[in-house]
Amino acid sequence: MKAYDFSRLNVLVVDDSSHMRQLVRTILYAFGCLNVYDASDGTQAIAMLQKHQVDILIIDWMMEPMDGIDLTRTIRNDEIVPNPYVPIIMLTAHTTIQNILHAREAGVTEYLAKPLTPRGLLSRLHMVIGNPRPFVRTAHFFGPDRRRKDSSFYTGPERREDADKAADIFELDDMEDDAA
Amino acid sequence: MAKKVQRPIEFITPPNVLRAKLATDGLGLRDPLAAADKALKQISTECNAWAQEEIDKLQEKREAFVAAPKDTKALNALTKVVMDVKGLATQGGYPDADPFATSLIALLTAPGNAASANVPLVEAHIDAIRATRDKKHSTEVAAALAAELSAQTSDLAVGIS
Repeated sequence: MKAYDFSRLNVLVVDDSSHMRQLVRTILYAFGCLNVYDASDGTQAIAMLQKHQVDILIIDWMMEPMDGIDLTRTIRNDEIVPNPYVPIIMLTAHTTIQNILHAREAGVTEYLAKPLTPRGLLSRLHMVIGNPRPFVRTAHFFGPDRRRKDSSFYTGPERREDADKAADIFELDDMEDDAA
Repeated sequence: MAKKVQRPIEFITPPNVLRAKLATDGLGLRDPLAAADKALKQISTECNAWAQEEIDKLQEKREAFVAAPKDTKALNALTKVVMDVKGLATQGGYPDADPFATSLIALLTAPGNAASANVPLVEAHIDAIRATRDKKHSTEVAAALAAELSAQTSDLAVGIS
């Protein structure tokens, strides 16, 4: 695995559980991160994004008043957030395929199932740094490409030409990896 | 017949500023996984207290849910705590609680409010999590019980959907 100098990374952790934030922060500090901001819900996170330069977000799903899905949609689609391309890692106990599809539809970059492990978090960080997804804009979606696998040898119909169908295209194998 | 107008798909590859920003030859860097394991060991007492705190909250949220199983607010409050239990139990020293939490989340978030149709099954999950906290189960018994509760949850969800 390639090494990165995480001391230059600015991370925002968004979770309404202070214990979970502390757990994530502990692991990030151990990885060498020095700049870890935190917020307890989506609204606070947006204020942090407007104030600080954030390189990666690690967000929970279930929060009030603004949950992780709405936060992701706001980041991707609302001009009040300075960087719509910022990588978003969703850390959640919602682990069904339907949940993962829903998160991907909102614009989440990577998905990480609780319980949190250092290995899981490190692998997602490496993904967003070393192998970032390109972004896709259609009539109904703006966010990271939901296909991860190399499709350069694909010779079938380009279903994404129909923006209405774009939402139906996913790599299920990939998502099963995400839930692990 | 009017032709349907479709917006073209636009692919955007933003410059990978992060890879450039964090690039290093690796010399002098510590092993991140070993460092994280060590850090987690150092806060294991706190993690254990956090997990216990969340498991204690289950009882309060359970009472509200049992009193009004169709109340969405009570259901969501219970679901939130179970998710926090799932997030903290393993690092807090209760890994056997994880499969119960996973199954209970599936039950509480199943379509058609499946949980309200089988409150005793919800309570059985919570009792199992609390018993794990109180070390009343061996790992083998916990695994067998979790498999049984998970199977009942799947049957219930299938029956309702």
